[in-house]
Amino acid sequence: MGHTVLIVDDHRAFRLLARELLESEGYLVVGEASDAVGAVEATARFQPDIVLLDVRLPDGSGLDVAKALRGQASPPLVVLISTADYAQAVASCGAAGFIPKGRLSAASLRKVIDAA
Amino acid sequence: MTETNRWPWLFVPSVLLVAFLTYQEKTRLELAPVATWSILTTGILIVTAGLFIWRRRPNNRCWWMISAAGFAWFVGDFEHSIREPISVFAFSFGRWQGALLAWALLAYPGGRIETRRGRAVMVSLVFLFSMRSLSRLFLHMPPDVAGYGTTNRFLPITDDRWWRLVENIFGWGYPLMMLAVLVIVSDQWLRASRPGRRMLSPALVAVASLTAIVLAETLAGWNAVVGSNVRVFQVVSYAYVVVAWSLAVGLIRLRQTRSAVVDLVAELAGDGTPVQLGPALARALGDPTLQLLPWSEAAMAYVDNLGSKADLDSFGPGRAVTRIERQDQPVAIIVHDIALLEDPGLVNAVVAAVRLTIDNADLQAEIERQLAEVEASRARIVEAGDAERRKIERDLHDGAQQRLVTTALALRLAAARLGENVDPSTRTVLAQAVKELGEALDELRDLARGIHPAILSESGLVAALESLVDRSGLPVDLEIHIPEEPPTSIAATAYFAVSEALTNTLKHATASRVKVRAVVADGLLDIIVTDDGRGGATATTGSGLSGIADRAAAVGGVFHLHSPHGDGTRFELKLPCASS
Repeated sequence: MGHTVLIVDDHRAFRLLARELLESEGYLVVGEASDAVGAVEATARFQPDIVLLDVRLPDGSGLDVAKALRGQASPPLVVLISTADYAQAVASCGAAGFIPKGRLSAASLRKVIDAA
Repeated sequence: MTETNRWPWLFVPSVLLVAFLTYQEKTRLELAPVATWSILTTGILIVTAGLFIWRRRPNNRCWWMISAAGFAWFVGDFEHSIREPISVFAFSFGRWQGALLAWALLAYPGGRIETRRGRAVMVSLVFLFSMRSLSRLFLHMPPDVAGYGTTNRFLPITDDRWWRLVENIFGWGYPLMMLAVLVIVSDQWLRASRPGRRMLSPALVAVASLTAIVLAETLAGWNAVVGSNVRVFQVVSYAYVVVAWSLAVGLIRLRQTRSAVVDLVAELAGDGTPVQLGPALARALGDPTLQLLPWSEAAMAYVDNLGSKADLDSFGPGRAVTRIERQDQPVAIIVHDIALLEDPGLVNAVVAAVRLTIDNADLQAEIERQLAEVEASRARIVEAGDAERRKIERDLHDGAQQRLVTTALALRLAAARLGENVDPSTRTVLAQAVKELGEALDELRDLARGIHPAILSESGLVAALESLVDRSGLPVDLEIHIPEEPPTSIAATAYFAVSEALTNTLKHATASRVKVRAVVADGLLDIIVTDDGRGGATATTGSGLSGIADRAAAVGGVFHLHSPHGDGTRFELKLPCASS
């Protein structure tokens, strides 16, 4: 069975396509969230292996969400996604890596997981 | 100085010519050389004193009274001429120097006789001298009176009683009038305050000298003075010089006081206010009681340092109030010793200087206000520009970039779902579309970052600078110490400055090492970018570096570029930073 994934992004179309893309490659998308508060709640609820986390959320920064998730008892692997470049912010928020949204694929995600 | 008032220079050759003729006359009479030289130097020194005053105080009429006294001194020395018309003229009009010097004394220091009693004394003196001159010119003169054998050739009158009467009246009247001058000047001096006495002291010396001369001449007789002893004659002669030069020195001292006032005001011009100016003027004018009271629009009155309304009727005797106005609007008043009014020019100079100082202070304040407004508006423009950049970047992020991202994912998904029997060219087209779209997204991301780096807003300046250095493709040593996030406009300025410096280094410097240092200390964010490249960078107008310099100035920062040819580049930016 593949890794379980939570997708956090405020764009519904992106969440839908990302889900289909990842599931077609063997990942199991266990849930979705569209904002920062929902991201924390969904993580606690679904306990995913991976949180695909958009940085710019309507109610806060994904970087802050990543920091919050890092403090959990069994923190998931957080992978930042964005159209902007946040590669440099990865270390400071405790994320495992960064993938530009346009480059999201099972392969790019695998690369981050392997590097973590 | 204009061409028209250079004519007094003619006094120089004139006095030299008259002195030369006097020398010839005295040589002919075989006068003792010491006495001759006393006569010559006395006359020349008196005329010189007048010209000295003219040069320093051209508008003060004392100069010509004193110069004329010098010439009058010489005129009397031709009484002994063998040419009868000359000797008659000299005998008639000589010795007027006493009257002219008395005139200068009464007119001191303003150049005009201001008091009624002063004018009365002067009129009396002129009357006495005129009466004597006319008497000597038109009435019979006994051959033995002066001992020169001169006779009246114009209007022979055999009876000399009138002539003797006039001479007697003059003999008593002249010393009496000089005593009156002494009384007037002394009274003026005694009633004056400290600054007033300082101003009038030279006149006191002069009037004492002149009165002593006149009394000596009257008691002993002029001819007796001349004939008695060369030493006595020298003392009397040089006493006239003392009179003339005392007045000259006094007037120059007044000018120095004015200069002191003007210098003082010039010194205060930068930040002088009425409150500071008042004590300074008091010191310069030697009047410790002087007060400068500015006009208050709020109180609609002149106010003191404490803001209390000044009662203009309460200053008491011996005090004078000089008003300073500008375009008929009250500016301030100076309350000072009434003696300062003795020199209206000085008061006018003070008023003008104070007005200039206050104007200057107002102007300075207006310039500072406008400058602050310009600086504030410039900072607002930068902030507005930054806000607009952030909005554009966010619009790109939420709009075009998102749509392209979902399109790219959709294409990638479609490609993954293609069946086995699909035409390979379709698979190739889809793969190409995904690749092109990915590149378009990369370019759009770079464009958005150039407009406003999202990481700066989300993660702060440190992460933004690290990201910048990471992407630069240069071997960069990075040193950052920014404990607190700077204000938005400062952070954006710092980011774009480092970005521009690194771009320049990459494009032009051919450097092997680059160092970026961003440190906050003492309320300043100091950013230094150095490289070991070929140098020669300039912040020419319109260049990226000049844009950084403009932007730095707009937020109150300073930009400095040092880039000698062949010796690397040092780019430094100091920005005000609230955090420290």
